[in-house]
Amino acid sequence: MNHLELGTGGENMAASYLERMGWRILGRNVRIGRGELDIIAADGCELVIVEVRTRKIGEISPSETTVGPKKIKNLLKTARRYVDSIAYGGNWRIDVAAVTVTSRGEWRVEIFGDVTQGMEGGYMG
Amino acid sequence: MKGICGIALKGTQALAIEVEVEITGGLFSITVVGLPDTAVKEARERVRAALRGLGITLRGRIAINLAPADFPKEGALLDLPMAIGLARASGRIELEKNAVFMGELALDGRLRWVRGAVPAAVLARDTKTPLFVPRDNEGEVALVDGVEAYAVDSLLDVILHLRGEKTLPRIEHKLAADEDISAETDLEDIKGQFAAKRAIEIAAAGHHNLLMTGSPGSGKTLLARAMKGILPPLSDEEMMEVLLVRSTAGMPFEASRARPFRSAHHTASSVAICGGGANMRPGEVSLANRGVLFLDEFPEFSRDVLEALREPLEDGSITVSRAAGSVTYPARVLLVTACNPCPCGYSGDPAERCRCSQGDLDRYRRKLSGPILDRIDLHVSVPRLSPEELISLGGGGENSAAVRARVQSAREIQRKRWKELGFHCNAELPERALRRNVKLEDDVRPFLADAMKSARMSGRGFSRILRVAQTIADLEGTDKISVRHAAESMSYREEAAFGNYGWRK
Repeated sequence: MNHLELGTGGENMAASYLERMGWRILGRNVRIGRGELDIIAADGCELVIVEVRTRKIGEISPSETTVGPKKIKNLLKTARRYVDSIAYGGNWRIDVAAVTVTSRGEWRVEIFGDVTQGMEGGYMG
Repeated sequence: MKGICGIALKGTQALAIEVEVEITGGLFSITVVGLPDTAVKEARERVRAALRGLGITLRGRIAINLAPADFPKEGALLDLPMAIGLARASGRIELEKNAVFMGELALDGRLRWVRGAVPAAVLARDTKTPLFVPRDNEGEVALVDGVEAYAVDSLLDVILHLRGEKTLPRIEHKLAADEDISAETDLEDIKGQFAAKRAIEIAAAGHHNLLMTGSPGSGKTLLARAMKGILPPLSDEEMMEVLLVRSTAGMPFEASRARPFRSAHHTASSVAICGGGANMRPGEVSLANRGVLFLDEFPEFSRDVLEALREPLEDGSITVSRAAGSVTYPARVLLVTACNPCPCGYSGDPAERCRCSQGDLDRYRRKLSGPILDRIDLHVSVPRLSPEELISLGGGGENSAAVRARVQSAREIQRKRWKELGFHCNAELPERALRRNVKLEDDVRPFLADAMKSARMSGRGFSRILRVAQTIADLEGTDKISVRHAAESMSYREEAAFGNYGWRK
């Protein structure tokens, strides 16, 4: 399994996990300008943009820690452009889905909700 | 005043700050506008956590406006009105009536003590608006009569009360007790120094400023501390003023009728004495309002500080002007000062030799300007006691309680006499009003005329003699000034107290 397969596999796992939680998947791999949004979903009446990070267990850093401030900033920029492009006026947020492949080949999904909350950039709108 | 209000402090006055909240769709964000300082901006973290603790999760773009928009807001006391505004905007509570809220939120929704509760209570009383304050502020708010105020422990309490699910009891008005005022230092415990004791009695009775000059170890500081015990208790009106200043300065609350006694070190900056700073705070001269401000080593204070004291001593208030605006704090103090007679401290001492040159003396004495010395009615010399006096038992004279009773009745006489003119005590009286209104016995005029000639007294010096003499007469319970009163008064002139060593050359 190369790194591309790992990435796609992770996104599939995350999408099915979200569906099981009752979210509706509105889009996958949406390209906006130079950026890409992994999953676009609806959690109740709120639009959620999900960034999926996949890692094998034992790698130096776990999946969720690979989303740093710079990544979030880019994500925020792309997400804003997307929200504007569909002329959406309701509430929305950005979640991170951390997918881990264990040594026995099992997949594990964890959701980190509203990652921009508490961030100065997020606050200032 | 409309809607949900918080307060901001301007001097010792509270200003109603209307908190408006708007929530629109979008990525979650909170923006606070209306010149908030860092503490106000950071409130969003506390407010968000506290609301989440109650199951209210904030969503969308949130704008909070603090009106009037051009007045700077500071401190954590706006946490509660912001939280209530957010709860209302997200549909959790209904609120038709206007109300004032104040309190700093803990992350779990508890409310913490804030400064400014007394000014807020006064504002709420005057505008007939209910007021919600943290439980820790209950004591000080209870002293304000006629305010509809509620003490709350947590954000939940307020929300339940506003929803009508739980009724909070109103804070009941409590007057401060007329407890016995006892200072740590009783006059009785001070040996000798009868002249100085008499001087502090007169100072306390007529609210005259006092300068004590004496060698190190002669007991100047002790005498100043004893002053606290002979001042009459605060009246209700005066107590309110003291409370307002203390609350504004963020000092812990004390329901005591004892007059404030503040002593400042001579390294104090003019901001510490007069008030000001990045966030306007009252200084020592305002904290000592209606009480005693004791400045030890008076000439060692920086020139700025000494000159800045002129305004409060004259007007009874101090106006601090900064780029952000100007505020006025009350500052009616009884100034008690102490100093050494010369830099080495032993000029005029019978046992030790003074090592200062004439130049040293001149330099030392130049530090006190004429205008400041003019504001000091009483000058007294505090000599060191001889070893025989020090080891003798007893001999302390009257105790503080007896002196206080005399002081109190003298103040009462003054209050009655000057009521029509709008003054409380002899020291407040301007020169003209004084000269026109004092009554002299027949032989006093020739006596004073004689004295003025030989002592080359100025007009202002003459007024000061009259003023102090009036207080001495009041202490005796007589209205007319006799020769005896005038003569005693003359002994508290600086020239008389120090002979050739007077402060002015």
